Amino acid sequence: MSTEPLTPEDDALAAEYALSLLEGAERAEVEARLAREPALAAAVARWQAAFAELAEEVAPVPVPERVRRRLEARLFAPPPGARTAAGPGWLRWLSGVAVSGAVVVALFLVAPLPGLRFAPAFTAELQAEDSALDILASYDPGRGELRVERRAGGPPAGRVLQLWALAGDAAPVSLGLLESEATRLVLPPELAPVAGELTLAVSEEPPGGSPTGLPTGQVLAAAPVQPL
Amino acid sequence: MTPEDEIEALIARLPLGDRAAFGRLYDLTGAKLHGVCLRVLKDGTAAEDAVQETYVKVWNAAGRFAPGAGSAMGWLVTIARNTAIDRLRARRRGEVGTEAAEALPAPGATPEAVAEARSEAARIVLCLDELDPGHRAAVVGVYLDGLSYADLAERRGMPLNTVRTWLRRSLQRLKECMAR
Repeated sequence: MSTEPLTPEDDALAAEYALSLLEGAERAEVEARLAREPALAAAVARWQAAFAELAEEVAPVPVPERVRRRLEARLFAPPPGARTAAGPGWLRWLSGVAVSGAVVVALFLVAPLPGLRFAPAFTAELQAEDSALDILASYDPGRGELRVERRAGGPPAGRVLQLWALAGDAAPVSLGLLESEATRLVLPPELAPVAGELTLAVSEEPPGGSPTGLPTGQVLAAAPVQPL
Repeated sequence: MTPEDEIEALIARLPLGDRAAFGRLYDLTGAKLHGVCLRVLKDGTAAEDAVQETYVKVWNAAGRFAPGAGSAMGWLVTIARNTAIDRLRARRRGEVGTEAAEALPAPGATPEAVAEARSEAARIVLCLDELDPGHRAAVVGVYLDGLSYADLAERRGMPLNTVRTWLRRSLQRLKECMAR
Protein backbone atom coordinates (compact mmCIF):
# COMPACT_ATOMS: atom_id res chain seq x y z
CA MET A 1 0.00 0.00 0.00
CA SER A 2 1.08 3.53 -0.66
CA THR A 3 -0.03 4.80 2.75
CA GLU A 4 -0.13 3.23 6.20
CA PRO A 5 -0.72 -0.53 6.12
CA LEU A 6 -4.27 -1.77 6.05
CA THR A 7 -5.37 -4.98 7.72
CA PRO A 8 -6.40 -7.78 5.32
CA GLU A 9 -9.82 -7.49 6.91
CA ASP A 10 -10.13 -3.80 5.98
CA ASP A 11 -8.75 -4.44 2.52
CA ALA A 12 -11.44 -7.07 1.92
CA LEU A 13 -13.99 -4.54 3.18
CA ALA A 14 -12.64 -2.01 0.68
CA ALA A 15 -13.02 -4.58 -2.11
CA GLU A 16 -16.58 -5.38 -1.02
CA TYR A 17 -17.39 -1.67 -1.01
CA ALA A 18 -15.91 -1.25 -4.50
CA LEU A 19 -18.04 -4.18 -5.66
CA SER A 20 -21.21 -2.63 -4.14
CA LEU A 21 -21.64 -5.73 -1.98
CA LEU A 22 -22.19 -3.83 1.24
CA GLU A 23 -25.64 -2.72 2.21
CA GLY A 24 -27.40 -0.62 4.79
CA ALA A 25 -25.56 0.14 8.01
CA GLU A 26 -22.40 -1.66 6.94
CA ARG A 27 -22.12 0.41 3.79
CA ALA A 28 -22.88 3.63 5.67
CA GLU A 29 -20.16 2.78 8.18
CA VAL A 30 -17.56 2.30 5.45
CA GLU A 31 -18.61 5.56 3.82
CA ALA A 32 -18.16 7.39 7.11
CA ARG A 33 -14.70 5.84 7.53
CA LEU A 34 -13.69 6.75 3.97
CA ALA A 35 -14.01 10.41 4.82
CA ARG A 36 -11.45 10.19 7.63
CA GLU A 37 -9.23 7.23 6.67
CA PRO A 38 -7.12 7.96 3.59
CA ALA A 39 -5.63 4.45 3.62
CA LEU A 40 -9.08 2.90 3.33
CA ALA A 41 -10.09 5.38 0.61
CA ALA A 42 -6.88 4.59 -1.27
CA ALA A 43 -7.64 0.87 -1.02
CA VAL A 44 -11.15 1.42 -2.43
CA ALA A 45 -9.73 3.53 -5.27
CA ARG A 46 -7.22 0.79 -6.08
CA TRP A 47 -9.88 -1.90 -6.09
CA GLN A 48 -12.11 0.27 -8.27
CA ALA A 49 -9.26 0.76 -10.73
CA ALA A 50 -8.58 -2.99 -10.77
CA PHE A 51 -12.21 -4.06 -11.18
CA ALA A 52 -12.66 -1.49 -13.96
CA GLU A 53 -10.18 -3.59 -15.96
CA LEU A 54 -12.89 -6.26 -16.12
CA ALA A 55 -14.74 -3.98 -18.55
CA GLU A 56 -12.11 -5.10 -21.08
CA GLU A 57 -14.30 -8.12 -21.73
CA VAL A 58 -17.37 -5.96 -22.43
CA ALA A 59 -17.91 -5.09 -26.10
CA PRO A 60 -18.67 -1.45 -26.93
CA VAL A 61 -22.23 -0.82 -28.12
CA PRO A 62 -22.90 2.36 -30.10
CA VAL A 63 -25.14 4.77 -28.20
CA PRO A 64 -28.30 5.91 -30.00
CA GLU A 65 -28.10 9.56 -31.05
CA ARG A 66 -31.10 10.45 -28.87
CA VAL A 67 -28.97 9.91 -25.75
CA ARG A 68 -26.56 12.66 -26.81
CA ARG A 69 -29.45 15.01 -27.58
CA ARG A 70 -31.07 14.41 -24.19
CA LEU A 71 -27.75 14.77 -22.44
CA GLU A 72 -26.90 18.06 -24.12
CA ALA A 73 -30.39 19.36 -23.47
CA ARG A 74 -30.05 18.48 -19.80
CA LEU A 75 -26.56 19.89 -19.32
CA PHE A 76 -26.38 22.81 -21.69
CA ALA A 77 -29.90 24.09 -22.39
CA PRO A 78 -30.06 27.72 -21.27
CA PRO A 79 -32.47 28.24 -18.36
CA PRO A 80 -35.67 30.04 -19.45
CA GLY A 81 -35.04 33.75 -19.83
CA ALA A 82 -31.28 33.41 -19.80
CA ARG A 83 -29.31 35.59 -22.14
CA THR A 84 -27.80 33.65 -24.98
CA ALA A 85 -24.09 33.23 -24.65
CA ALA A 86 -22.12 35.38 -27.02
CA GLY A 87 -18.51 35.47 -28.02
CA PRO A 88 -16.05 33.26 -29.78
CA GLY A 89 -15.96 29.51 -29.19
CA TRP A 90 -13.75 29.28 -26.15
CA LEU A 91 -15.59 32.17 -24.48
CA ARG A 92 -18.89 30.41 -25.00
CA TRP A 93 -17.84 27.51 -22.80
CA LEU A 94 -16.97 29.89 -20.04
CA SER A 95 -20.40 31.50 -20.22
CA GLY A 96 -21.87 28.58 -18.29
CA VAL A 97 -19.65 29.64 -15.42
CA ALA A 98 -20.95 32.20 -12.96
CA VAL A 99 -18.80 35.24 -13.46
CA SER A 100 -19.50 37.15 -10.31
CA GLY A 101 -17.96 40.40 -11.21
CA ALA A 102 -16.48 42.68 -13.73
CA VAL A 103 -13.31 41.00 -14.56
CA VAL A 104 -10.43 42.52 -16.30
CA VAL A 105 -7.49 40.32 -17.05
CA ALA A 106 -4.87 42.06 -19.05
CA LEU A 107 -1.68 40.44 -20.11
CA PHE A 108 1.31 42.34 -21.35
CA LEU A 109 4.15 40.83 -23.20
CA VAL A 110 7.42 42.58 -23.78
CA ALA A 111 10.27 41.91 -26.09
CA PRO A 112 13.40 41.03 -24.15
CA LEU A 113 15.09 44.27 -23.20
CA PRO A 114 18.66 44.89 -22.23
CA GLY A 115 17.37 46.97 -19.31
CA LEU A 116 15.33 45.88 -16.29
CA ARG A 117 12.05 47.70 -16.96
CA PHE A 118 8.72 46.09 -17.69
CA ALA A 119 7.43 47.23 -21.10
CA PRO A 120 3.99 45.89 -21.99
CA ALA A 121 3.50 44.86 -25.60
CA PHE A 122 0.36 42.73 -25.50
CA THR A 123 -2.95 42.87 -23.66
CA ALA A 124 -6.09 40.91 -23.20
CA GLU A 125 -9.25 42.03 -21.53
CA LEU A 126 -12.52 40.49 -20.38
CA GLN A 127 -15.31 42.39 -18.71
CA ALA A 128 -18.44 41.12 -16.96
CA GLU A 129 -21.50 42.84 -15.52
CA ASP A 130 -20.41 44.26 -12.14
CA SER A 131 -16.92 44.83 -10.82
CA ALA A 132 -16.33 42.37 -7.96
CA LEU A 133 -13.03 41.11 -9.29
CA ASP A 134 -10.44 42.92 -11.33
CA ILE A 135 -7.11 41.32 -12.07
CA LEU A 136 -4.25 42.58 -14.20
CA ALA A 137 -1.44 40.32 -15.32
CA SER A 138 1.69 41.31 -17.17
CA TYR A 139 4.41 39.11 -18.55
CA ASP A 140 8.00 39.81 -19.36
CA PRO A 141 9.35 37.06 -21.67
CA GLY A 142 12.90 38.32 -21.10
CA ARG A 143 12.60 37.63 -17.40
CA GLY A 144 10.06 34.82 -17.82
CA GLU A 145 8.19 36.61 -15.07
CA LEU A 146 4.47 37.10 -14.75
CA ARG A 147 3.28 39.93 -12.51
CA VAL A 148 -0.31 39.72 -11.34
CA GLU A 149 -2.06 42.62 -9.70
CA ARG A 150 -5.42 42.12 -8.02
CA ARG A 151 -6.96 45.57 -8.27
CA ALA A 152 -10.39 44.76 -6.84
CA GLY A 153 -12.21 41.85 -5.26
CA GLY A 154 -10.92 38.58 -3.87
CA PRO A 155 -11.81 34.93 -3.31
CA PRO A 156 -14.96 33.75 -1.50
CA ALA A 157 -14.55 33.26 2.29
CA GLY A 158 -12.24 30.35 3.12
CA ARG A 159 -11.05 29.98 -0.49
CA VAL A 160 -8.04 31.16 -2.48
CA LEU A 161 -7.65 32.38 -6.04
CA GLN A 162 -5.56 30.26 -8.39
CA LEU A 163 -4.30 31.34 -11.79
CA TRP A 164 -4.23 28.91 -14.73
CA ALA A 165 -2.80 28.95 -18.23
CA LEU A 166 -4.53 27.16 -21.08
CA ALA A 167 -2.59 26.37 -24.24
CA GLY A 168 -4.52 24.86 -27.15
CA ASP A 169 -6.36 21.73 -26.13
CA ALA A 170 -3.92 20.76 -23.38
CA ALA A 171 -4.99 20.50 -19.75
CA PRO A 172 -4.87 23.73 -17.72
CA VAL A 173 -1.51 24.40 -16.09
CA SER A 174 -1.42 26.04 -12.67
CA LEU A 175 0.61 29.24 -12.59
CA GLY A 176 0.19 29.74 -8.85
CA LEU A 177 -1.97 31.18 -6.11
CA LEU A 178 -2.92 34.85 -5.93
CA GLU A 179 -2.74 35.24 -2.19
CA SER A 180 -1.81 38.90 -2.01
CA GLU A 181 -2.71 41.93 -4.07
CA ALA A 182 0.49 41.71 -6.05
CA THR A 183 1.98 38.35 -6.99
CA ARG A 184 5.03 37.51 -9.04
CA LEU A 185 4.94 34.17 -10.82
CA VAL A 186 7.21 32.34 -13.19
CA LEU A 187 5.74 31.07 -16.43
CA PRO A 188 6.68 27.38 -16.90
CA PRO A 189 9.40 27.16 -19.59
CA GLU A 190 7.25 24.95 -21.83
CA LEU A 191 4.61 27.68 -21.98
CA ALA A 192 7.01 30.54 -22.74
CA PRO A 193 7.16 29.90 -26.52
CA VAL A 194 3.35 30.02 -26.73
CA ALA A 195 2.86 32.88 -24.25
CA GLY A 196 1.11 34.96 -26.93
CA GLU A 197 -1.47 32.21 -27.55
CA LEU A 198 -2.39 31.46 -23.96
CA THR A 199 -5.68 31.95 -22.22
CA LEU A 200 -5.50 32.81 -18.53
CA ALA A 201 -8.20 31.77 -16.09
CA VAL A 202 -8.77 32.37 -12.38
CA SER A 203 -10.61 29.81 -10.25
CA GLU A 204 -11.51 29.71 -6.57
CA GLU A 205 -9.91 26.77 -4.74
CA PRO A 206 -9.47 25.37 -1.22
CA PRO A 207 -6.64 26.86 0.89
CA GLY A 208 -3.31 25.71 -0.49
CA GLY A 209 -4.72 25.49 -3.99
CA SER A 210 -6.39 22.76 -6.02
CA PRO A 211 -5.61 19.33 -4.52
CA THR A 212 -5.77 17.67 -7.95
CA GLY A 213 -3.52 19.99 -9.95
CA LEU A 214 -6.53 20.97 -12.04
CA PRO A 215 -9.26 23.53 -11.39
CA THR A 216 -11.80 22.11 -8.93
CA GLY A 217 -13.74 25.24 -7.97
CA GLN A 218 -15.65 27.77 -10.02
CA VAL A 219 -13.81 29.58 -12.78
CA LEU A 220 -14.39 33.23 -11.93
CA ALA A 221 -12.72 34.83 -14.93
CA ALA A 222 -10.77 34.07 -18.06
CA ALA A 223 -9.24 35.97 -20.94
CA PRO A 224 -7.08 35.23 -23.97
CA VAL A 225 -3.80 36.96 -24.60
CA GLN A 226 -3.77 39.57 -27.36
CA PRO A 227 -1.15 41.94 -28.72
CA LEU A 228 -1.52 45.58 -27.73
CA MET B 1 -1.03 11.05 -27.53
CA THR B 2 -2.42 7.63 -26.56
CA PRO B 3 -6.21 7.25 -26.27
CA GLU B 4 -5.76 7.08 -22.49
CA ASP B 5 -3.77 10.35 -22.46
CA GLU B 6 -6.37 12.01 -24.65
CA ILE B 7 -9.21 10.88 -22.39
CA GLU B 8 -7.31 12.21 -19.37
CA ALA B 9 -6.66 15.58 -21.06
CA LEU B 10 -10.32 15.87 -22.07
CA ILE B 11 -11.52 15.17 -18.52
CA ALA B 12 -9.10 17.81 -17.29
CA ARG B 13 -10.84 20.42 -19.42
CA LEU B 14 -14.37 19.68 -18.19
CA PRO B 15 -14.15 21.69 -14.93
CA LEU B 16 -13.66 24.77 -17.11
CA GLY B 17 -16.95 24.09 -18.87
CA ASP B 18 -15.36 22.97 -22.13
CA ARG B 19 -18.28 21.53 -24.10
CA ALA B 20 -16.17 20.60 -27.11
CA ALA B 21 -13.96 18.47 -24.85
CA PHE B 22 -17.10 16.90 -23.41
CA GLY B 23 -18.40 16.06 -26.89
CA ARG B 24 -15.10 14.48 -27.87
CA LEU B 25 -14.96 12.50 -24.61
CA TYR B 26 -18.48 11.21 -25.28
CA ASP B 27 -17.50 10.19 -28.83
CA LEU B 28 -14.45 8.32 -27.57
CA THR B 29 -15.96 6.56 -24.56
CA GLY B 30 -19.77 6.48 -24.99
CA ALA B 31 -20.00 3.08 -26.69
CA LYS B 32 -17.80 1.41 -24.07
CA LEU B 33 -19.76 2.84 -21.15
CA HIS B 34 -23.00 1.95 -22.92
CA GLY B 35 -21.73 -1.63 -23.22
CA VAL B 36 -20.98 -1.69 -19.48
CA CYS B 37 -24.42 -0.31 -18.58
CA LEU B 38 -26.13 -2.81 -20.90
CA ARG B 39 -24.21 -5.69 -19.36
CA VAL B 40 -25.29 -4.68 -15.87
CA LEU B 41 -28.89 -3.70 -16.61
CA LYS B 42 -29.69 -6.02 -19.57
CA ASP B 43 -32.30 -3.55 -20.77
CA GLY B 44 -31.81 -1.04 -23.58
CA THR B 45 -33.88 1.81 -22.21
CA ALA B 46 -32.49 1.49 -18.70
CA ALA B 47 -28.94 1.37 -20.09
CA GLU B 48 -29.50 4.54 -22.11
CA ASP B 49 -30.75 6.31 -19.00
CA ALA B 50 -27.73 5.07 -17.06
CA VAL B 51 -25.36 6.33 -19.77
CA GLN B 52 -27.01 9.74 -19.63
CA GLU B 53 -26.75 9.87 -15.84
CA THR B 54 -23.14 8.71 -16.02
CA TYR B 55 -22.11 11.62 -18.24
CA VAL B 56 -24.02 14.12 -16.11
CA LYS B 57 -21.95 12.86 -13.14
CA VAL B 58 -18.74 12.99 -15.18
CA TRP B 59 -19.46 16.58 -16.19
CA ASN B 60 -20.18 17.58 -12.60
CA ALA B 61 -17.43 15.57 -10.89
CA ALA B 62 -14.57 15.99 -13.36
CA GLY B 63 -12.84 18.44 -11.01
CA ARG B 64 -12.43 15.64 -8.51
CA PHE B 65 -10.67 13.34 -10.96
CA ALA B 66 -7.04 13.34 -9.90
CA PRO B 67 -4.93 12.78 -13.00
CA GLY B 68 -2.64 9.84 -12.43
CA ALA B 69 -4.54 8.43 -9.45
CA GLY B 70 -5.90 5.67 -11.63
CA SER B 71 -6.59 5.34 -15.31
CA ALA B 72 -8.99 7.88 -16.77
CA MET B 73 -10.92 5.14 -18.56
CA GLY B 74 -11.09 3.19 -15.29
CA TRP B 75 -12.57 6.23 -13.59
CA LEU B 76 -15.27 6.49 -16.28
CA VAL B 77 -16.00 2.75 -16.18
CA THR B 78 -16.34 2.90 -12.38
CA ILE B 79 -18.87 5.72 -12.55
CA ALA B 80 -20.84 3.98 -15.33
CA ARG B 81 -20.81 0.62 -13.55
CA ASN B 82 -21.81 2.08 -10.17
CA THR B 83 -24.57 4.15 -11.77
CA ALA B 84 -25.93 1.07 -13.53
CA ILE B 85 -25.68 -1.06 -10.36
CA ASP B 86 -27.56 1.55 -8.42
CA ARG B 87 -30.34 1.55 -10.98
CA LEU B 88 -30.41 -2.24 -10.98
CA ARG B 89 -30.80 -2.38 -7.21
CA ALA B 90 -33.38 0.42 -7.22
CA ARG B 91 -35.38 -1.44 -9.87
CA ARG B 92 -35.36 -4.57 -7.74
CA ARG B 93 -36.56 -2.64 -4.74
CA GLY B 94 -39.15 -0.87 -6.85
CA GLU B 95 -37.53 2.47 -6.14
CA VAL B 96 -36.85 5.25 -8.57
CA GLY B 97 -33.22 5.85 -7.68
CA THR B 98 -30.68 6.26 -4.92
CA GLU B 99 -27.29 7.78 -4.36
CA ALA B 100 -24.61 5.86 -6.24
CA ALA B 101 -21.16 5.36 -4.82
CA GLU B 102 -18.76 7.51 -6.77
CA ALA B 103 -15.41 6.64 -8.18
CA LEU B 104 -12.98 7.65 -5.47
CA PRO B 105 -9.85 9.63 -6.18
CA ALA B 106 -6.86 7.98 -4.52
CA PRO B 107 -5.84 10.50 -1.87
CA GLY B 108 -2.36 11.95 -1.95
CA ALA B 109 -0.88 9.35 -4.27
CA THR B 110 2.80 9.76 -5.15
CA PRO B 111 3.92 9.08 -8.73
CA GLU B 112 5.52 5.81 -7.54
CA ALA B 113 2.28 4.74 -5.86
CA VAL B 114 0.33 5.62 -8.99
CA ALA B 115 2.62 3.57 -11.22
CA GLU B 116 2.42 0.70 -8.76
CA ALA B 117 -1.38 0.93 -8.53
CA ARG B 118 -1.71 0.98 -12.31
CA SER B 119 0.43 -2.07 -12.90
CA GLU B 120 -1.33 -3.79 -10.00
CA ALA B 121 -4.74 -3.03 -11.53
CA ALA B 122 -3.62 -4.36 -14.89
CA ARG B 123 -2.75 -7.70 -13.28
CA ILE B 124 -6.29 -8.39 -12.09
CA VAL B 125 -7.27 -10.23 -15.26
CA LEU B 126 -4.33 -12.67 -14.96
CA CYS B 127 -4.85 -13.03 -11.23
CA LEU B 128 -8.53 -13.84 -11.66
CA ASP B 129 -7.48 -16.78 -13.81
CA GLU B 130 -5.52 -18.15 -10.86
CA LEU B 131 -8.72 -18.41 -8.84
CA ASP B 132 -11.00 -21.42 -8.82
CA PRO B 133 -13.28 -20.97 -11.91
CA GLY B 134 -16.37 -20.75 -9.73
CA HIS B 135 -14.83 -18.00 -7.64
CA ARG B 136 -13.66 -16.15 -10.72
CA ALA B 137 -17.19 -16.26 -12.15
CA ALA B 138 -18.55 -14.96 -8.86
CA VAL B 139 -16.24 -11.91 -8.80
CA VAL B 140 -17.00 -11.09 -12.44
CA GLY B 141 -20.72 -11.69 -11.85
CA VAL B 142 -20.72 -9.31 -8.91
CA TYR B 143 -18.87 -6.58 -10.83
CA LEU B 144 -20.46 -6.83 -14.28
CA ASP B 145 -23.84 -8.40 -13.57
CA GLY B 146 -24.49 -6.73 -10.24
CA LEU B 147 -24.94 -9.94 -8.27
CA SER B 148 -25.39 -9.48 -4.53
CA TYR B 149 -24.35 -11.88 -1.76
CA ALA B 150 -28.01 -12.98 -1.64
CA ASP B 151 -27.92 -13.77 -5.38
CA LEU B 152 -24.71 -15.78 -5.01
CA ALA B 153 -26.12 -17.66 -2.02
CA GLU B 154 -29.28 -18.54 -3.92
CA ARG B 155 -27.41 -19.68 -7.03
CA ARG B 156 -25.12 -21.92 -5.04
CA GLY B 157 -27.62 -23.08 -2.51
CA MET B 158 -25.32 -21.94 0.28
CA PRO B 159 -25.92 -19.86 3.39
CA LEU B 160 -25.21 -16.18 2.83
CA ASN B 161 -22.48 -16.01 5.44
CA THR B 162 -20.66 -18.96 3.90
CA VAL B 163 -20.76 -17.29 0.50
CA ARG B 164 -19.44 -14.09 2.00
CA THR B 165 -16.58 -15.89 3.71
CA TRP B 166 -15.36 -17.59 0.56
CA LEU B 167 -15.76 -14.52 -1.63
CA ARG B 168 -13.74 -12.47 0.84
CA ARG B 169 -11.07 -15.17 0.80
CA SER B 170 -11.03 -14.98 -3.02
CA LEU B 171 -10.62 -11.21 -2.84
CA GLN B 172 -7.69 -11.57 -0.45
CA ARG B 173 -6.06 -14.13 -2.73
CA LEU B 174 -6.63 -11.77 -5.67
CA LYS B 175 -4.97 -8.97 -3.73
CA GLU B 176 -1.94 -11.11 -2.91
CA CYS B 177 -1.54 -12.07 -6.55
CA MET B 178 -1.93 -8.48 -7.79
CA ALA B 179 0.63 -7.21 -5.29
CA ARG B 180 3.25 -9.79 -6.36
